[in-house]
Amino acid sequence: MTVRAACAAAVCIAFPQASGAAPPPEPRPSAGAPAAAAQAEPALTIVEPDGQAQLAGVVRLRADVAPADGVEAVEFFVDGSRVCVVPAPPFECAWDAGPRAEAHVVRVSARLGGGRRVVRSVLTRAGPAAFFSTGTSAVIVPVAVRDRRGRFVPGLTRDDFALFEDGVRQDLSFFEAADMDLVLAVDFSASMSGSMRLLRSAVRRFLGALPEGARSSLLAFNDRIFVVARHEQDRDALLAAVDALPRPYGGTSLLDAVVQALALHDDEIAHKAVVLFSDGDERNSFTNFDAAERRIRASRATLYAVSLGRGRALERIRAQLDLLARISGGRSFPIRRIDDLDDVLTYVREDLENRYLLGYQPSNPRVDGAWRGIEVRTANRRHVVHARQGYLAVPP
Amino acid sequence: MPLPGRTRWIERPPRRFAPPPRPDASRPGMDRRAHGSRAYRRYRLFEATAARRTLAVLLAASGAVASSVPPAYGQATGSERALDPATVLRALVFDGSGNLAGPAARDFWERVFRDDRVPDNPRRALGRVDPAPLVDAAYVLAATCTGPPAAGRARLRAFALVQRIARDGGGADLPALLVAARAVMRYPMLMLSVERMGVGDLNVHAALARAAPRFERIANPLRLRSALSQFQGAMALVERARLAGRLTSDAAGAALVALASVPLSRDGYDGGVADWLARDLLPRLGVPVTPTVTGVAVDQRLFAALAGPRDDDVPVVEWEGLTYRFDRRTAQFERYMRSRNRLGGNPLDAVLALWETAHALADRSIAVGDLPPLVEGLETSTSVVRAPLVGLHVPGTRSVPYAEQIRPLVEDLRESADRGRLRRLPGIAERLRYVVDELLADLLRTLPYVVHLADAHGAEGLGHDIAARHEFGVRLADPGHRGQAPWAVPQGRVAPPGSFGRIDEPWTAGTGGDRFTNAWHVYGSLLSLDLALAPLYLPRIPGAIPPEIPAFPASDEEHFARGVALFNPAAARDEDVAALAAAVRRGRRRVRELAAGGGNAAHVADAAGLGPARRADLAWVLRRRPASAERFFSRTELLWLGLGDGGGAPDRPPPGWGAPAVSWDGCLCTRMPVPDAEDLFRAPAARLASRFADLQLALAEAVDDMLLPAPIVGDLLPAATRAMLDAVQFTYAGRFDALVRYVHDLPRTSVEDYVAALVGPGRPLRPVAPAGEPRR
Repeated sequence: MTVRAACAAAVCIAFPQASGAAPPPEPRPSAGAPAAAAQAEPALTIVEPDGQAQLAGVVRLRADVAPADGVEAVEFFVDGSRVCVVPAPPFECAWDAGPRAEAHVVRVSARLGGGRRVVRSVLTRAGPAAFFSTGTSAVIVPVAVRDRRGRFVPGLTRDDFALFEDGVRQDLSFFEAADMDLVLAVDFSASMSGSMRLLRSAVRRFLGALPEGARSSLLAFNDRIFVVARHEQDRDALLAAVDALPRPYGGTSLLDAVVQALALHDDEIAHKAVVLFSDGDERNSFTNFDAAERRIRASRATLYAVSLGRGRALERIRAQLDLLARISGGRSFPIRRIDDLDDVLTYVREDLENRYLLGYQPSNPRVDGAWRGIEVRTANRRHVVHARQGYLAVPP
Repeated sequence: MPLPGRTRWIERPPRRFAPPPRPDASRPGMDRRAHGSRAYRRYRLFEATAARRTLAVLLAASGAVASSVPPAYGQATGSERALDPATVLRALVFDGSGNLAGPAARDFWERVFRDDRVPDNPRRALGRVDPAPLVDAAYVLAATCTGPPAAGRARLRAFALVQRIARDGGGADLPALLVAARAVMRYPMLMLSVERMGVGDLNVHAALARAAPRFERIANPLRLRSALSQFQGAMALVERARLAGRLTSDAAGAALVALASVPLSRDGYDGGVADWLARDLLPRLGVPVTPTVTGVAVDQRLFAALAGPRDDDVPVVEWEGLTYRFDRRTAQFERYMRSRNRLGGNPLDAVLALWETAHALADRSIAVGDLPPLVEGLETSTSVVRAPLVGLHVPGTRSVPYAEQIRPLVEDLRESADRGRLRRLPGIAERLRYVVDELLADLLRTLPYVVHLADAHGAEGLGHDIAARHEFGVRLADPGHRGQAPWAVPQGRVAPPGSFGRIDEPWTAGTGGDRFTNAWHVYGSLLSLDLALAPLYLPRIPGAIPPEIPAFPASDEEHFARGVALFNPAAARDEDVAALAAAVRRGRRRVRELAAGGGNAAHVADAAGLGPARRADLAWVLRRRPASAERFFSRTELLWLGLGDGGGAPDRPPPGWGAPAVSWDGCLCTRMPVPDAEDLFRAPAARLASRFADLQLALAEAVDDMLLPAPIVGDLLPAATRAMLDAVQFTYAGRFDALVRYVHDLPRTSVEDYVAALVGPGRPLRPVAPAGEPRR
């Protein structure tokens, strides 16, 4: 076995015998560290998890820095991906480890200012599945019911609904409100220059009016895609993320944004939605429409697509977004003026807040990748029911 | 006071070559207009020749520009832009007397350009070559910068390829060079891929060059598409195996010669490529060929072989307190498998099993008793084998699902078995070979995508039919274009399907196309597909907060991403990293000495290849800001300053390191940019990328410092390149300067983060559990 490497200074704890005749190197300060790096560094400890932990489900990551005075922020990484950044004590955040307890490398980095930092890592243990996911086979269908005037119909019970999968009536086994997992996808391509200010204000109002506890992600896209906030429950942090959006530039990767927004959803949350704002034509996506449609069908999220400018004027874009939204049980809103945005967002917010969540174990349990059509009815024929049109029977 | 230069006229350009004033760098529109001005192009020409310290080249080039090269050079001609003389001169090497280096007999080159067909007998086609006169800069410019731009580019490719072959010791065999030159003009990717594989044997070039024209004789677009898919897909597997280090260059060359000799008729390969796979390539890769219709073992072993040679001595890395195995091969295999599952299609096993059945049926020694298991195998295949997305196009039949296509064969075979009639077997075998050809074409078109999309980000969005959407251009109306289009450099684009030259590729009919007409797809060759897919190698979700308008828009990213694609980590050696890092450190030391008053500024400026403007800048920096002298130089310049500086330092950087050379001289390689005083202030992104190796050098230096294995540079490059392209902003000093500054300021903590991100499934750092605990 050849041991080749040493590592970043602040965290090197062992230097096994290096290959060849060269002696193992002495620890060196990392490149960004100034000469003053020799000053006493705070002690960073990963409190949770420890090396014996088997992580499954939503777990807490916690670190302790002593003294914490000079710490600018603590970043948590799992398997190389950043999970969260915590600016002040307590340095902890939640992370969904998934249903199976696999080994993970949890890495914590405390930024100290002046380019210095302290890093610690811990390897958790693999183990048997310790977390049972309710989402493995249940199908959750968010449903909005309106009357002929477009007003929501409140107070319906399970018995008021009939749900059919491929024409076969299903037993509703799950019926309760759940957390919401929302992804806002905001186009900041060059063509948004004229409307970005108003859009930003409208998005702020929309986020501000969301119910407490809703988890929101903010995805900004032009011809690149940025996850500005991920599964954020802190409203102030979300609003700050909206404010941090730069001046619009670049082209538009609309379908890529749809696919990436769907990928951001938390599997464990039943009520998922994507609200997409764009005024652009589709010019830069690697994703084609068929692939995007397949992703929409395979996901359980509801898509609301707000299009303006060219996005509204071009028949092709309108038709694409409308079809994707309808499949998901959502709706597309081609708006003429940015001023109409508030009305649309109010509609979307009410739609999200007034959804019933129907759940059932499909009578056809096969996971064969085929499309299963869904139809939801209420006893009252004057009700207009909005629900996704079906799903792809693929593993969760 | 200006620095004393080696030649005065370099210090002070003649009046007619004076640089035009620099426009406002914050207004790229203005810059583009200035970039097209004649004054600027004259200055570029001066620069390109001054870098070589060769007055003869400058005079010849100026003469050519004045006489034969149209004054409108560089301007758009039709849909293509003509070549810029400065670009041409930089791409080629001239000797001190202004003549082309390498084979330079004008008679030879005139015979090369006389025709673009590959001669059957190159010795006879070449005849006796007069050794004089020689090709000079004027001739080169007249040959490349006049006439249709496409022809000029093809000629430049030929000049450059022949120079590279001659540099590597293959310059004596003029007939073989004639074949290579003609072939690279007409079938560029064929020759450039062979070069990429490091196959230096010109007999391989010749064999492939003679194989390529056979495709032009296939008139039926469906059959042509099938044959091209098989040939290029098979060659792409050899290419990948060679780059992964699984095949030596000799073995790769032998496999290619064997592939080129597979008979090809107007109806296709008739099972020949399947035969080559089973009898030549797979044994060379050490893959046992024991296929069954329902198996996947051959398929998986092929990908295991393509992931690289088995390494029993996997490096162990101590990193941030944990122990990891640095196992690129396993990570690569995991990525291949993920990509394979995503793109789907039939496994190689099923196709080879059908080929074995066809082979057995055609065997004259077959007995009636041998037939029942063959019938059973075919019968089983109807339930497991899927038709390609574009349909099965077997002559004489409708395009129908596989099961419907194969069922009549099963019935005929069963009848033959029941009645003991063997005379119908050759006919059944022939029909089955057609089916095998179709299935293999689909498979071999898919496998290069599987391989090259394995390292891509967000590839799932491309759709599982991305390989079926590949456009060779087989329905182009013009036979000449139809013959060349499948060998063009592959490029990705978002466009309505089938709009490539107003053709209608079969996949649009087979899949129904994209209902909303826009679909990203690749057109051109299947060879070196990573050139087209390169933009996907940069992480698709770059970071948290979008930057302000970056200097490089998304459309420019592909040029830098090609540097990621073309760098071959499998060939990276620890000693190369050590040599690069040591040279940069020596260069830094040399600059520090200069800033401290020691050393010769002119020598340093010469070694770093500084042009007139930067020489003046250096003099100012040394006089006014000596402390920042080190930052004045790019890392690449520091490298050259440290090379050959005595103390046993090598004169040249190790091969395989540097910037993508494809937009420089067409080479599908990375090469360390040689200092040549080019003013990159207005240069387009493709040129900047081809001159920029600083980021790779910074990573190599960090990897050497941290005692990590050299191939990890290839794993760090994508994230580092993405971060750089997001962060670099416009500055008044130009985009190249901004790139250089970015790398100077790149903190080591960022590199550490890139390393830490190499943990997880499909990534090379595999945590090693402490003793007594279960391993991952």
